[in-house]
Amino acid sequence: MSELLNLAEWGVKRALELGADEAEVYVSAYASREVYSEGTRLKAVASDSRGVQVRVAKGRRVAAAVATSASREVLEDAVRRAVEMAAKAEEDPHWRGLPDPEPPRHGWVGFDEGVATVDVEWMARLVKDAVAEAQRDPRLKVSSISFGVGYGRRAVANSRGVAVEERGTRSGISASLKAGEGSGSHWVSSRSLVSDYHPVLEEAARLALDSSRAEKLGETVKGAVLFRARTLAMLLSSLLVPALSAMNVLEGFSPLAGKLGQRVLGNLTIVDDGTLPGGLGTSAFDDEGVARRRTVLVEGGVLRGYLHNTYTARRMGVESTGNASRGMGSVGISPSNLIVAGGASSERELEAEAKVVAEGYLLSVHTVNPVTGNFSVVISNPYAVKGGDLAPVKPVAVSGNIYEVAELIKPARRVKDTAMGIHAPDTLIGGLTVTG
Amino acid sequence: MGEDIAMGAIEEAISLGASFAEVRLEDTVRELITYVNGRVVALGFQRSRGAGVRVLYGGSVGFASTCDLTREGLRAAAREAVKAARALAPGDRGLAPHPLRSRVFRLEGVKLHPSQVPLEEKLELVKRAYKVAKEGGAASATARYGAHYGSVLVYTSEGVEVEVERLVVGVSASVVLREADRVGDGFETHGASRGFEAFEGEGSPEAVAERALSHARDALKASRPPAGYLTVITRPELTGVFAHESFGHLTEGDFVAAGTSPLTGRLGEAIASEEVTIVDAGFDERGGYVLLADDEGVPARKVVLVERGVLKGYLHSRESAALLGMEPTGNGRAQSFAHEVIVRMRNTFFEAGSWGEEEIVEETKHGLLLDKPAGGQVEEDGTFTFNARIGYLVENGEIKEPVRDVVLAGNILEMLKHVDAASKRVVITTSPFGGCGKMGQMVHVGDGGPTLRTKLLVGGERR
Repeated sequence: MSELLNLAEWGVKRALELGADEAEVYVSAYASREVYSEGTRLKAVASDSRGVQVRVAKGRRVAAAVATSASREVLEDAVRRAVEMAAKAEEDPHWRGLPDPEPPRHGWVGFDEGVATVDVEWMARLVKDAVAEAQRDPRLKVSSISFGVGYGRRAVANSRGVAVEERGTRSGISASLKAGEGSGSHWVSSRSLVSDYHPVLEEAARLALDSSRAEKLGETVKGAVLFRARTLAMLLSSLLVPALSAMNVLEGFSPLAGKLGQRVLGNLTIVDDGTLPGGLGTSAFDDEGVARRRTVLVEGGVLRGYLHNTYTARRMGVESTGNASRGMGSVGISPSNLIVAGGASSERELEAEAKVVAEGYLLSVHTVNPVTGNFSVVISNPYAVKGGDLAPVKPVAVSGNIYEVAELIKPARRVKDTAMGIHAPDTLIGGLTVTG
Repeated sequence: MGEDIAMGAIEEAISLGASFAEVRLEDTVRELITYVNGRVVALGFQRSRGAGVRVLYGGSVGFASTCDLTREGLRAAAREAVKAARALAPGDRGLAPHPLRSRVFRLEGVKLHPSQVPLEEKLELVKRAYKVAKEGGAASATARYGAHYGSVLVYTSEGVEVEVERLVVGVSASVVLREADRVGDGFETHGASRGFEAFEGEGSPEAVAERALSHARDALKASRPPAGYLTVITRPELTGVFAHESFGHLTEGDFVAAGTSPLTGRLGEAIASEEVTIVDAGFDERGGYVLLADDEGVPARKVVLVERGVLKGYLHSRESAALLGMEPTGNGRAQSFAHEVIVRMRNTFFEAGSWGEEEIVEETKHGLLLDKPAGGQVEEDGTFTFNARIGYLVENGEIKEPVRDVVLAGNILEMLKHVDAASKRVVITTSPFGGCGKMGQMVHVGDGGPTLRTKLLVGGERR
């Protein structure tokens, strides 16, 4: 047993000694290294962080304490505080206890020794080379190029016998370039070591150069927008993911409450899969030690289920979907890997049906309204479709309501990894208002 | 004890060849209570203790952080920072001189510090807000209490020893109203760098919930806005997002030094209409966040960014100031000890104009009056978007029906030229729940301004 799990189990024991009826301790350690450029000047940053998160219950009174350290002394302090707070907290009538232990459902480990041991000097060389490569094109200016690696470990133990631990790695390269007035950015991210910056630079350069010659759309039109996989992923993360969270469903913040079995999203099929080999969100367990699994959320447009942690699952009388996540002082719900199924059309066919193609990223996407499904976002690198050709245009605003236009959603065949924990095809959404 | 471990790390870095070393120690607490539909869903207390070490080696900057606050833990972080900087050397980086040697910055006049308030009273705050929301007909309601407080200590190899206090508290209420198949939501936050005395009068949980309800009631009746290029009147809270998101980021010294800001090399140039004066300050009597000194221990000076339309200043950390041969302004900030200092805003706001608020509406033939920002974003070239949750159509000088979920887009440098009215009243706000995000770091900020009138692209419905 590792030092982290040891510490977690010790914390659980201490909480029970101090009077908690149930206790859970989550211990994490994360080491990251990043070399990035501000313009063309490099900077190197290393961070070694640890954290403990304690959740205790006294009867149905629940409290949490968090600290950014992982010594016994700090944990003891957090445990004491959580037990004290629980004594004063209010009863939660829906509390049904901590998760029970269960075996993992898959064996894929997202850990790459090569990421965990990479040297900062090599990282610096790679970023220097990438900056030099980007500068070879005199039309381009480097805003920032970054290379980061992270190595995390976590352990969860609770008083019902959960005692799990695992480790994972992640690395990524991103580039943000300018060409005159235009800008473009791109990134890749993986559980193993990425070191080829060329595709990242090429894509960022293409977007920057195209946007440097973009013209104003100059009109307001109603019609279809083809969201590339990444822009679609950004929209779904902010608009749909919160609506699929069982906590929001229970508390009245989701328009999908009471809609199980109903057709709500046209023909879309969406699955949460925490077991996907290679997935950025794949792990053996979620943040409360429940096994990750595959959950069908929407099937052919019909709502089949929500994302759950143990609390919401027990409250709704179903099994947890293994989507518990840790926030400050509470256990929340997050997707693991979200997969949007492909449809029947090719990307070319969908382009022909679109007024505008959404590339780059969506500005202000965090301001969409998941309670109503209304959204109004700005596309950083849009292209107008004119007679079968794509012509870059200046940023345009796109608005609509995802549920009102659900029947006009058409996914392309090819499903792509967006490097955001979402796998999705380019997807056409009709009935939107585009202004620019 | 802080000084002892910090000195050990500084000695270690210098002995390894660093020309400069700095240790930043943090000991802060973040409190959060989330109360949803009559139930505590989060009751949290987070203590952050750790150290960040920054070094200069061969003209390159390296940074490493640790939560191991032993002498050896900090020495190890110092070695890591030197190793990182050495990997980048040679470089052309430096640090502008620090204006201080030794000083302690404390917030004065705090009456009831959150650390002295019992948990029961904090729970009472969210319950009071919730009660008002519920009685006002909310189908769902969330009330939150948050606080962030503690201290940051900065030691450097130049002999700098500065301690700075941090404090912000706040409550928020968010309500959802349902009527037949219509949904209206409203959100309100009150925050201040004060003690619990901040929760009185307009800052009371009841008043906050009442304002959220009022916005939700309007949202219930609201339709999507018209789309197009329109005259837009922004209320202070929304004006603030403008000041911060769309303009402020362009004045950040790191972007200026990298040459990626469109304001690079334009000091003294007229870039906006004469109605426009924009300031970034660590403190303002009208409200907002209080930052007396930044995370480099540099006192926060008031920076006039734009004065009557003319670009006057940039925001600087010690690093960005050195690159441009300017002085640090107290804008070097980090989310926590685990993050490196980068250039950040503090309270960014438009200054008052000469108009009455009603007068601006009365003098507008056709446009939108907008309120309640829901965030925004800016690109390096000044292209921005920001959203208003709620607003009203203005026709012939009169406020008409409400509109909701409005996205505004444009380029700030184009837009500032069209500002043709600013009100006398200025409001500056802050929040303990969120802040400003940049390069993966979140810090507390304040923003605000008067009611402003300009022209912008509005993303809405084609009518």
